[in-house]
Amino acid sequence: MVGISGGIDSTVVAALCARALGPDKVLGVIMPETDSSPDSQKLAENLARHLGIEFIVENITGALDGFNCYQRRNEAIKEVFPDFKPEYKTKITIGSNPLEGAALNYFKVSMEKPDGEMKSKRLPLKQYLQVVAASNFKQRTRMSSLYYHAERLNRAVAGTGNKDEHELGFFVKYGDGGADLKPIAHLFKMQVFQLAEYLQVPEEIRRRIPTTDTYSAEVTQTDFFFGVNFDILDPAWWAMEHDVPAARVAEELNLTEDQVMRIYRDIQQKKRNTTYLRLHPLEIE
Amino acid sequence: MEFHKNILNIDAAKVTDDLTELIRRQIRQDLKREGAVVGISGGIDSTVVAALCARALGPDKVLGVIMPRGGGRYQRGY
Repeated sequence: MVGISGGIDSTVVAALCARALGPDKVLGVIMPETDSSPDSQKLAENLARHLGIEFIVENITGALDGFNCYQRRNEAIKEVFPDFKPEYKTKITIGSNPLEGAALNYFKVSMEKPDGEMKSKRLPLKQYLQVVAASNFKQRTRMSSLYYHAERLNRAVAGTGNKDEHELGFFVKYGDGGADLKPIAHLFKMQVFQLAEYLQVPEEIRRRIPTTDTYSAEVTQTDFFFGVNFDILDPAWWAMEHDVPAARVAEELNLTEDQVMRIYRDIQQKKRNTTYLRLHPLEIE
Repeated sequence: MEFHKNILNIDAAKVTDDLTELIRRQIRQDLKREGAVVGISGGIDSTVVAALCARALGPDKVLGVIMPRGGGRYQRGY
């Protein structure tokens, strides 16, 4: 049982499960909603055909409407952009880049009008939290759908988070974080790309730039959360874990030592701030 | 220890004190959150948890979410 999005992570997990269990024992669940990129569903369907696994398309827009997901998100955006209309495309990006300045993380919201006009503003914490909390209904609804099929078929839900997402907290607790096994949670994104190549998953998926596919205006994962591309972030992180001198890292990755230190601090800060996402419910001993 | 029918009796005052202390520590220090959200059903378990949270954190730091069947919006999505 795997939720497949047309992204590289779920593709690799689905391919691994198909190898491990046989394609007839893997069900791909495609769960688009109104803000999803139309490409995603197509890619996910093509993947399922490529792997020879069964797939089901569950459009979750109705469920999300039932949760007032869109209404609650739009309400917060309207507080920042009073002229916002529900048909405008929106996205959230991080306002700082560890390569340029100190890792002072704040967020920006951008709104794209139908005529192409783009407006961006700093997003105050309260509205940011509401936009994210409302959007998280998407991942949690997908988790519910996955467990519906898993329990119906006596199967397990395979999670698709990689190490970057898992350890830096780029996942929704009990949303995409809710799964029975997480086979690639220890692998850097750069390593997931290598598995994808080895497993010969469709080229069209390997070539895609990772996006969140959560906001109506497309936003890359670099812009939304990580701030640095994976080909820099991942080797720098490995170096940090293995106490490689910053000077050597800077030389190898074409950065200044200062930039390396800022990446390190950003990693540590994200890990620290998202600890509670990785904690199981606290019980009394 | 000898078994008898009242073996599960507790010192409710002490358990309440221990639990409120623990809830405070878990929410503020371990989880680093500002308060609690509790789903309240009108049943005894959620009632006790909500009451303990209110004691531990102050009533203004506890939000009870009541999620009844029917009456609210319901739409089916495929």
